[in-house]
Amino acid sequence: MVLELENVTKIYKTGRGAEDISFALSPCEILGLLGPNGSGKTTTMKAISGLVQPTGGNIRICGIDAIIFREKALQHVGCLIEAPALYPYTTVRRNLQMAARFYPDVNESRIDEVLQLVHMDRYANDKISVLSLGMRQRVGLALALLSKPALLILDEPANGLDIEGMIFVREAVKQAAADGAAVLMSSHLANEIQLVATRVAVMHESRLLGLADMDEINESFESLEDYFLKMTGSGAE
Amino acid sequence: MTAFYAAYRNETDKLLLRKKYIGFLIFGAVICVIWATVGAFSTGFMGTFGGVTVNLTPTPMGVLPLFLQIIVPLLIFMGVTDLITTEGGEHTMKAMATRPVERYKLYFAKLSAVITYAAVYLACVFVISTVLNQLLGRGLTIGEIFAALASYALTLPPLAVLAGFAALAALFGRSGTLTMFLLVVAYLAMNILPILFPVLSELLFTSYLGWHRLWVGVLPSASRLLHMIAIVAGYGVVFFIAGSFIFDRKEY
Repeated sequence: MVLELENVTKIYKTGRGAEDISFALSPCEILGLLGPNGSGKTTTMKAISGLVQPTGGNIRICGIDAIIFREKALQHVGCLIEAPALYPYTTVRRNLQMAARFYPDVNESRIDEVLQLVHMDRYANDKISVLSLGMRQRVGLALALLSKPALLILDEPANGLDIEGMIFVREAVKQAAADGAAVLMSSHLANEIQLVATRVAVMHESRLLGLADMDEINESFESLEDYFLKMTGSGAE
Repeated sequence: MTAFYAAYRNETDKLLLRKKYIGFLIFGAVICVIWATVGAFSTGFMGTFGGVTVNLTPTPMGVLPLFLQIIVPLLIFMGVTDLITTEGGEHTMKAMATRPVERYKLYFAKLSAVITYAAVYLACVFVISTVLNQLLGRGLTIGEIFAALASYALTLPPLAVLAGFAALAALFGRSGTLTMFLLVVAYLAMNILPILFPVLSELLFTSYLGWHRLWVGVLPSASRLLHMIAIVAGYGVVFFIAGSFIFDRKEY
């Protein structure tokens, strides 16, 4: 297993967060976290990537306890959580070079490779501050893919993208999974998840309500939206 | 060590990629030039203006108090504010916090980058003021140059403690501008309080910023030196441990 979550809980002072989340993720799998805004998707992803400390539960990445051995566990993770974290006062290439310093195997040719992959090679020497929202999202994706991570975490990666950008992200996610990565991707749009995920986890009001293979959902429900409504109990009477 | 070194290089780059830090280095050089030029025409001049003693002797030791007490502390405050508070507020902290590096190493890398910048800044001031003094002033002997160099080196431990204090305070800040303002106010208070209450001068770490004066020349008693080292080191350890503990638990 690339990722194992056991009863992970993180509740903020506001009472929101994620509660008792458990699931596992294998290589080549794309798990879509589906839920409305505030359902706990981002909190779960932040807990996995070490941005918040869970108040309970266990997280293992490639068999390593990610809460105790954060540095070792994060060697296997690439993530894009909320808006891409980029330094606006420097260039696209410099942002990637700074991230690359943490991985001995990542060199300049890998940087060129990911820039080509996200179609940003032409803008490598442009400052982040002059890029559009979509371009920044592509650089964020390049940063996540840079170290060829075993676990790719993408929080609402299609946010702010045009149709072309959304198609591009879908293809990049599928390619990463085809290359052996386990992908955890969140969205509040059922359509986005349905087009890429191999499994779906429904989150609602901080809890994980259901987890099913995409094939099972396609067989038993008219659409992913129907599955979501059934899980949350908010379908039409 | 690889992770710390990577983080340290990144944090140093982040400071130097901002033009203002290079601008302040040039500003420091300009001050040295003005100081040496004015001083060359009034060698040895010393006067008191508004309670502040101004020594226009164009030597490295002559310019040191201005940089040590005012300019470098402000640059340290600016550095920690940019690397800690502003990154937290602009959500760029995630760029490093999601990389394979322990939080305490990242925090130490940020502090080290700011201290390195302060050290490089003082080194530039030393070199420029020494060269200008040799050209325009009476010229220093090798012994005097080494004594000045030792003084500059001795300013680094208390400046590192000041950086530790500023970094700890910056962890609580939400806005870079407000944090910078509060740090300046706190620094002013720590410099004024010992004047009003002399007993505090022994206790506040800011009183030791000028401790190089005690080390060069006739040394004070061993117990006094030990007392000073203990206070400076004690503050340093407390600030660093508290800061790294809070940074480790901080959520971004």
